[in-house]
Amino acid sequence: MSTIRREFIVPDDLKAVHDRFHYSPGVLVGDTLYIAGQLGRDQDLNPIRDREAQFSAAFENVGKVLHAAGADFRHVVELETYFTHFQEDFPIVLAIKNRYFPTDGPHWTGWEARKLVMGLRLEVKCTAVLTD
Amino acid sequence: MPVPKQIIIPDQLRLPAERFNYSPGIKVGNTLYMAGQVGRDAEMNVVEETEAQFVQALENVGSILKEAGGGFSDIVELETWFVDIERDFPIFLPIKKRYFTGPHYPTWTAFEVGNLVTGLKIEIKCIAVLDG
Repeated sequence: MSTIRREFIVPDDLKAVHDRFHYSPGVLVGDTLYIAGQLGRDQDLNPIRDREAQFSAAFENVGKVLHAAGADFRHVVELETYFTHFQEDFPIVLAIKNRYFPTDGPHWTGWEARKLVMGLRLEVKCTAVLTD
Repeated sequence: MPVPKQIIIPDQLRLPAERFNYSPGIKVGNTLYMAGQVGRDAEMNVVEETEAQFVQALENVGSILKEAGGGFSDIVELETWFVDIERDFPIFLPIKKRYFTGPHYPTWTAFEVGNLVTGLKIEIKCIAVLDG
């Protein structure tokens, strides 16, 4: 019987979701880092209303989980983006995404969800593999 | 060396598995991928009452885990797809907390979709990693 190494990644800035909703922002199993869908909220879970700031914050939150696990954006293999206003917001998100993934980016899947929590417009979900 | 693969079909999910020709679970190595589960009983009748439907969906997830030799504490990634996230999230949260008792929790990603099969209010999709 082998026990796989599991690490539950709860960065300080994202501790509120762990305590309130009982989930981990990240779970590292072996080399695979599963990351919860991230939203543009501040560390007190207040939604950020300015669109660009909200979208950037969602990516920043992904970065917090990556960094807490000893990884960075280069380790992301799968990116999913859920939009509530796909047509309108896609160009803005694309530009922001390209700042975080300038080259050799992950595979990417996006679609429009009908709604997200707190009236937010974007959710960003990533899976990373911690290679050397 | 090929990674061992095992198809997981618990008795209570045999009917949809046979009718729609899919696997409720596939275990590859230690990773158990599970089909999105909904609140239908073994005869595929939709459980109408909201809380009971959410419990049924989680019990269906549990049946796959059990058949594979695991449990809820092995789940590393949780996704919940709601038809009405504002109305149903507060109802789902305490039920979810009964199944994911900690101290460690999986990741969680939630959003609202346009629709599911008639009468269904949630779909729950999980990935687990089993020791051994």
